[in-house]
Amino acid sequence: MSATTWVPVIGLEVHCQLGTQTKLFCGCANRFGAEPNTLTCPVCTGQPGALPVLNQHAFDLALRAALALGCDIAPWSKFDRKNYFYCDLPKGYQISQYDRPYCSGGGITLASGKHVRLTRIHMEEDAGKAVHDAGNTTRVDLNRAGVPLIESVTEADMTSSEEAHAYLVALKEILQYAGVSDCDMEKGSLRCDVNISVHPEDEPWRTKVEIKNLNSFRNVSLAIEHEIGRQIAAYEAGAAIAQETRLFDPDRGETRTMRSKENEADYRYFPEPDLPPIPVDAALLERERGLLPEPAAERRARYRTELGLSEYDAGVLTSERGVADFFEAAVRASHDGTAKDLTNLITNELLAGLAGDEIEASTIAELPCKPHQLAELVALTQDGTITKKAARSVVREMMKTGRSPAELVRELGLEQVQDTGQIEAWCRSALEAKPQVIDAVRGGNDKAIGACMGAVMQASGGSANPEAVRDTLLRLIRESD
Amino acid sequence: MEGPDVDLVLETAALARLEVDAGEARTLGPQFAAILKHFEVLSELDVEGVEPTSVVSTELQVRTDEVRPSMPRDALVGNAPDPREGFYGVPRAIPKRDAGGQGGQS
Amino acid sequence: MTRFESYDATALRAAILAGELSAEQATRAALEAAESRGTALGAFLHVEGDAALARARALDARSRTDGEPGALFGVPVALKANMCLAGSPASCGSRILEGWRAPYDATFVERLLDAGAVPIGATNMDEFAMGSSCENSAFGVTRNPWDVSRTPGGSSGGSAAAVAAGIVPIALGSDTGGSVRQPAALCGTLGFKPTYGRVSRYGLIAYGSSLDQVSPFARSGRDLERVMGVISGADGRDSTCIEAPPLAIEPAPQDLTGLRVGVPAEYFPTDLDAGVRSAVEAGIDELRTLGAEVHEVRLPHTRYAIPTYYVVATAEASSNLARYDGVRYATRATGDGSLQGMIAATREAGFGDEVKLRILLGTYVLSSGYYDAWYGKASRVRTLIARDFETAFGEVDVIACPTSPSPAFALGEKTDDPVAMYLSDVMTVPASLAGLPAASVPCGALERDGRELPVGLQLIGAARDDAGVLGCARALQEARGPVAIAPMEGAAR
Ligand SMILES: [Zn+2]
Repeated sequence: MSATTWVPVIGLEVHCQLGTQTKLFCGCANRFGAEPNTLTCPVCTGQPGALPVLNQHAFDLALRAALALGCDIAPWSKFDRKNYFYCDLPKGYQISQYDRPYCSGGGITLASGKHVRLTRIHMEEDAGKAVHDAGNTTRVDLNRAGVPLIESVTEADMTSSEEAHAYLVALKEILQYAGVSDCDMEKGSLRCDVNISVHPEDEPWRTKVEIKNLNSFRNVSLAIEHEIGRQIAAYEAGAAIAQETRLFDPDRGETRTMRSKENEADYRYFPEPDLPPIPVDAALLERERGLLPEPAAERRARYRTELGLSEYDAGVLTSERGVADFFEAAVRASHDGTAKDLTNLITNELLAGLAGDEIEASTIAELPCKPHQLAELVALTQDGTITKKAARSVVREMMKTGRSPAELVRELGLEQVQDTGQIEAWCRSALEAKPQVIDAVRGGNDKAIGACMGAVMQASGGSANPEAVRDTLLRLIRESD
Repeated sequence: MEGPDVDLVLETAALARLEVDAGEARTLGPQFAAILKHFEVLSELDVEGVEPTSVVSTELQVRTDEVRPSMPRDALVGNAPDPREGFYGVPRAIPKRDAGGQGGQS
Repeated sequence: MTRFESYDATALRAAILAGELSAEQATRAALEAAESRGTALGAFLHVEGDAALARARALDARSRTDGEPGALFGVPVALKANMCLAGSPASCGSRILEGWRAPYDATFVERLLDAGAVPIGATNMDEFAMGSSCENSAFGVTRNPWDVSRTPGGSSGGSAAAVAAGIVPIALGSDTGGSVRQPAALCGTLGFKPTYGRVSRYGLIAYGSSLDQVSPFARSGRDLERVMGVISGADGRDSTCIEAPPLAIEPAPQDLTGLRVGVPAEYFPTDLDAGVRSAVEAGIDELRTLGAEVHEVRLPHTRYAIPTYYVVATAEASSNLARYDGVRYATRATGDGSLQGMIAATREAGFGDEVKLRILLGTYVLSSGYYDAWYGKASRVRTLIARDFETAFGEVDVIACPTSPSPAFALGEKTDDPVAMYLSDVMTVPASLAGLPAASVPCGALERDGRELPVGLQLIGAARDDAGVLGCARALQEARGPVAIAPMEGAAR
């Protein structure tokens, strides 16, 4: 008897906060991490008599997301009220879009070639945050209430946690590149719900279950894996799967029932009377289309074919649009053939520095040093003024101060020592200290010279030209015959 | 259109978070039914192809993405029945069962 | 009563500017009247005497030195209790907002203050503007100053009574389905509901958002124009507000010669109160005398207006009133100790019966399985009602009809019969559904139980023709002479 082949069917709903200065319907700042309830006003706290006014830029960003994802933009759309009661929902309704979302269709083609279709994207306002205390109270912070969101809904096109993960990574990259959102899951600017069912191959789809509360890519994968396993086990044990909403518990790595189908809320959607329909004119669409950047996938391909970078390097450089933009600006300011050196400085020094504690900036764009300065630095290594190793020390200073590389090189005394007399003196002492190297080299082991090279470079404080050191060492070994 | 009975009044009240007890529902039920009966005249009309009117104004007024000062916290939280360290205090809530715009907190 | 109390706002402002009395004296007189006549009528929920006097004194100090005085300089005004004046109570006649003070100024309040008006207090109203008699307030009824055993109409009954009794020359109300026009008619004042979007709703506590409009009461046509000139105009805080400059504060009087007045047969049913009919016909004759031509027009969907209105308004209200959940402001009841229990207990304790009934209706017509038959249907019939008017305004400039099918009814007469109460809005809701400007102008009186009761004539204009309706209302009022201050029949004076 052969085991059943089970096919998972997966769809994703992703909420993404838009990177505006202000909230969707009021002028309060859209900012994470402020003191509780300090970014609120009559509108976003639902005071009696207050009214929403749409932030045009939020709509522009939503349009840009739709264009980047290849969606069909509706000529007009409208807002609706979604009614339910919860302590973090100030008006007792959320302003959302129901039957006329601003766009539909579109999708993402994953690196594997798989195409995941989007059903629709709609705009809505975020709710506040409820903090559940250990005791008998819950505390509500409305700073997040009214922050603009887009919710994108896929068709159930994915069949594994890997595909779902790849989709999320690709979606995040596209939205970040388009400048729509920072997509920072830790700050809650990207949040995900999963719809999932399994069915035996060659059989129709079965009951789907919704999983909520997924706040990291890892949890999405874990929840999908767990849920696929749970559903298959249930079916194989002859049990049924109920149509329900489940909550993922990251501590226990499992999902549990949140509410069943019978308890589905009745949201009583109806058109938001405080907001007339939103028209989309051709000029606005054209402007947003013009603001779309080259997608990451295309940049990666170009870095490999035109600049000769490895797949790995291209991947690191395009992981964030800011990094890719920085890199490209530096390339434009440099001579040909320096892309690899620039890449090394960016990935090994700048990104490492940003990840560390010493640098205040949190993004590459915020660093005091600019792309053209990085190009200048690489030029100094190319013309032999400094070593590549010295360049690394220089760039670490540049990151802190933004001072020019030439100035730093002079100040730190990093110009390479071209003085052959001095180099020869360092080499002689090195060989005297390690006579065994002479024999090893004579015995045909050229690599043994490394030990002496290291000693000379150390003695010179990194300023000796490594090629000159190597040549001198080899000459001295030959001459000592 | 079927007339709403007492159960319907109770279900609707639950949806609207109104604590209507069975006694009240028995009073409200007939009132409710009488009003809806009077409104049934709407079913006479054929509105096939007629666009709904939900907002009277035709032009949407929008605003630019410029930060305006928020209100001092005390001016708003200070009005609450249970202000707690700058938060709005409420009886312990079970984590949200809702989809839209939910946070990941629990 | 001093002689100034019979002045309209225009005359009172002129008297203050001429030095005949100070803003403080005008305010003091209004506060005294609010205390005596206002209390007898139950017109006010809160009187903010100290704040009003401080404002008036500041105006008196400023008047000698500063530039152009405001269009309502020194004029005491009353605000309906659903309007936000920073620091003042705005209970909406509801327990659920008892003690709540608005944390901000409404746009129209800001404009009133900028024009030099002096708000003296918040007037009584049907709870959350749900009612046509001012009997649904949680804080007591308001009485009609022409006969205190009768209703002033509603929901803006307190503001209507305050103006009719000469406490203030002008007051603001809000009109959702007739809540200013009907009490204006029943109390013998002028009332004007602007085109939807003409006045910003920012700071008006919502009942039916697609219908609500801030609407003034006055005792002269020129005062209506003056107040509208102050409060109208574009506002960046209300997305539905019309992008247009304010109306003129002192427009030239309108010549009605050749004005085409439409009279819709649907508004003169056979069972129309005979006294109302003859007073309204007299008013229409007056318009004819002023040079207008009278034509018959048809508004065939009128009979569907009441159900359409009550479906739409209650649906919106059920959502608008969801924010009263005990979390962020005003009152809270504990309930069973859970969040949802607290919310339900707060709403149970805070809302009155009529509000609960309308929330239930509105929730029902939006709920899954009933939406299409009720809310969906009503919002389409609303389109048909608006089209009736568009067709009519292809033929005439203004429509004239009764404001209310009956004069002021006795307190308690309709409180047990919601359908009968809803039907009293039959003449006013069509213009509300279509978002049209409409005024009620006193056009005579009828006698009931030995007392004179005023009758109002309604003038409905095409969308955005606020100036035309106001001009016509003013012409009619001026032709008929000054509006009398109500005698307070039956009240202990
Ligand atoms: Zn705000």
